[in-house]
Amino acid sequence: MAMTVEAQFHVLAVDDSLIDRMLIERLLKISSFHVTTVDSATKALKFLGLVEDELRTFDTHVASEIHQDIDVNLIITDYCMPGMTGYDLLRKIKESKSLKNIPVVIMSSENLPSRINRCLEEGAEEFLLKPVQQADVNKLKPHLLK
Amino acid sequence: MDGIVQLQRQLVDYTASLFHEGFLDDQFNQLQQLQDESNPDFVVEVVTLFFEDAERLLNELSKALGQPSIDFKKVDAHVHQLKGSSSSIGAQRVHRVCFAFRNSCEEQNVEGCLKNLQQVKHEYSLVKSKLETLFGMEQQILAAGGSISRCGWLDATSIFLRRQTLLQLKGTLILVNFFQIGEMSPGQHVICRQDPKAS
Repeated sequence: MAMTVEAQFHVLAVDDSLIDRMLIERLLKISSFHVTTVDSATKALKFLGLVEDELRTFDTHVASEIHQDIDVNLIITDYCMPGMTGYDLLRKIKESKSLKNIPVVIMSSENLPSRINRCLEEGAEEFLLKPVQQADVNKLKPHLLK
Repeated sequence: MDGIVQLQRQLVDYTASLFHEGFLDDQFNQLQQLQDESNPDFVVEVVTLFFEDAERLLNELSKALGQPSIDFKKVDAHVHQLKGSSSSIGAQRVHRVCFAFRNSCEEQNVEGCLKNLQQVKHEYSLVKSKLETLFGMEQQILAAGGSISRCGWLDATSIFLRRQTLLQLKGTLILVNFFQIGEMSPGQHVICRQDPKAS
């Protein structure tokens, strides 16, 4: 069996539901992604290197001082979360100089056209209806940042 | 070997009945697809989490609806969570009751909510007992040295066949090894090849 060494894509998955985190992690791993899961948008921003100060000021000069070796190729987040929603997270990412080029995918259990449009307008690459399935995850690879 | 095949057949029939009666939907098939040799207990793990989550939420709901002044937003938030987790594991009937329950919350209909709570408790206890029976049957097969067949076939709208499974071919049950071949429809003709291809 040939050994192929491939750079793995790193996906950050954000969802407050433990069950859904387990599912998305498994789905992503089966597709050979490297996965990090967090249970809130705040934790996601921390992981991405945007810490508390930046959340208020969006001062990217300060953000760049925090050296992060984190290389995330895709962020997939639930829409409905307590505190900061997936939509808020999407906005913060798109407003950040250092993070705005990372593709963001939104997941939601509710099929609301207004919600979908809002997210796509804000820069989300895809809007996936929950429960997310293998076919949905297969759609993600083309969106990945090289 | 006969005893195992018998057990496996019972498992297949039982699983099919759960789909047929609407307790489970295609999402449960999706869960089974995520299980393999590297994650052999995935389905049981996720379903166990669902049981814990659901029981917690049902308790919270009972408490919230027992208050002198009901916080419908809180009730709705709990139902929303339950709706999500039941949908994620394919517990169709529980998921369905949650729709009605959310409507009752929106209307701030106390009686409606109480009725929906009873319904969701009932559906939850049914699906819990069914799934526990299912897992019990799987354990029996594994204990007897057999392997678990994974297919929601005949009665399910989406059929996923995976790894080693029991396939009904021209009335005979045979155990086959094969890879996931995608979706099939009920009654679809299947060709079996004897091909010892490595995974």
